[in-house]
Amino acid sequence: MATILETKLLTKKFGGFIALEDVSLSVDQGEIRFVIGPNGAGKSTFFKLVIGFHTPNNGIILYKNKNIEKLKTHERIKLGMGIKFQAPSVFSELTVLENLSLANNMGKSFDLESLLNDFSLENEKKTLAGDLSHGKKQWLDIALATLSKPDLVFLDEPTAGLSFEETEKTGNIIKKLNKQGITFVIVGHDMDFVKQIATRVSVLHLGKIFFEGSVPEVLSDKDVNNIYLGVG
Amino acid sequence: MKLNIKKNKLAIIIFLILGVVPFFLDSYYLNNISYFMCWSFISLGLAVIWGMGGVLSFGQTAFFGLAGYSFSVISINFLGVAGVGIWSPILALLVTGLFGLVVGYFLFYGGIYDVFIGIVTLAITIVFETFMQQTAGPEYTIGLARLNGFNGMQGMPTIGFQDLKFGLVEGITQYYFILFIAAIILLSLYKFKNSKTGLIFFATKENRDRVASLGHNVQRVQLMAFVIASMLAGLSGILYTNWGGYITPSSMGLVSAALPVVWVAASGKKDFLSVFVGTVFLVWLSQTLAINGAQFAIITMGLILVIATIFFPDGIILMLKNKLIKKFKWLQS
Repeated sequence: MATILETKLLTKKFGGFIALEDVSLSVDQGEIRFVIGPNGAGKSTFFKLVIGFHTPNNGIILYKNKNIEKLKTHERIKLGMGIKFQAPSVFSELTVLENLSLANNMGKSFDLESLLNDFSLENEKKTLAGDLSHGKKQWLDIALATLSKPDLVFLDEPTAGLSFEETEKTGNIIKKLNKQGITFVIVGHDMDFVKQIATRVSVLHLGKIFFEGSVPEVLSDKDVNNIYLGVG
Repeated sequence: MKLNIKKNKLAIIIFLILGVVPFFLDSYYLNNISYFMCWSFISLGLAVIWGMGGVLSFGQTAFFGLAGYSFSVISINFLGVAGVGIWSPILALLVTGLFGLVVGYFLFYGGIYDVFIGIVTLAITIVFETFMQQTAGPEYTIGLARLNGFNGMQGMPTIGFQDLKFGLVEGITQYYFILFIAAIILLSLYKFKNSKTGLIFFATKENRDRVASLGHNVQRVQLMAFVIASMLAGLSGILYTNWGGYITPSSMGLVSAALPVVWVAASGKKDFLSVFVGTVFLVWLSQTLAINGAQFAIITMGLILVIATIFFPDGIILMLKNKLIKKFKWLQS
């Protein structure tokens, strides 16, 4: 599989604090890659660096072999990326349809009804996004990130605040989209969710890549269990 | 430009009433209403950037004054040149738009947001006012036009065609001219609001980062809206200068800068028609109260702002409009 995203020696400092140090990570097309780690491991910093909200102090970010760290967020999106933030960031004063019309479809056509069905929003087209349940806000948010069928989608904690059933449904949605050709990089910490859909996992600890492997490899590694899973 | 008659019956009725008003009122009242309507454009501009995009500019009067002074300087210098009454206001409007573009560029691309935009724009208008007040000396002359310091400029030609009957924008022609422009501007603004760009701009109010993460250039959309707002403020400035035949630095001062914010907040910043009607009403109220002393008008406007902010955060006129539509459902069906 071809590499779609690659970071080389990515470093970010905030004053004297090193949030991320020499992170080299490579994601292949078709993966559902999880980036996990304890609080303060640097997951969000990594996410913000890749989507263009922070500028790295050192290192490079390659997307489809193109250097992107100097591009602004909207320019990276136009290269075929999708983003979902941690908290649901739908536009509460707009309806579900208006929210979807805001998503940049990059000139690609899509079946609106099928999209709404996939995300269980078919009966809420004209509902204000602010009036949706938390779970449906998360799904609408994922719909916004994936509507244009980008090649790579970043999801930051897509199951935060969701029930077990909602988490499982979110996993199924992501798997379905993955089969349609979307590569996912997901920042999260819900291990049940990781087990459900991850194809590969990168563990961050103290701003560095601590371990990388498949789900069984991560679960069976003693050191990962010690620092992250709390089993030791 | 299509007009949805079904949904805009109230607006059509208001404009029809304003259209027949000259048959019942004498020129004194018509001139007054023209004056009140002059100010509606600066408010509409503020409704665009603040009501739609959440960007509160406290210094729209900088564009108002710049347009008024530019119109005066250009038209005085080219007095007698063919068509000066037509192209000088257009040129003044373009100068204002260009200035809006420069200011907006530094604001949005410089990463200045939220309350700081209000502070920067207020500073600009006060700097303008202070500078223009110092220009009383003969050295402050642009071509043939003396800036005239505190007393301001006068003697500019009237907008329009000199040789045509009713060709000059004065009296009843001025009334219909401003009314016509108001109708066109309102239609255009509703069109902008319902466009994809308008939707993107509206969404930036809630979450700029999310809009950028959907692949939209937030700064460019905000800059575009800022230029529209600055040109609308400029339109007010030009029409005001034409109406009175003068422009003074005080039109860019602190009180002048605060008033459009009060008008828009009290009217209902999310609805253009409410802002238009509210501004006309509140300018009338200000003028009426000012007869007994300017301070009464200012205190009343402050009181209205406080009442609107606490009890009617969506605006008093918008609240009345919604009640009217609720009572007479045929107005929007």
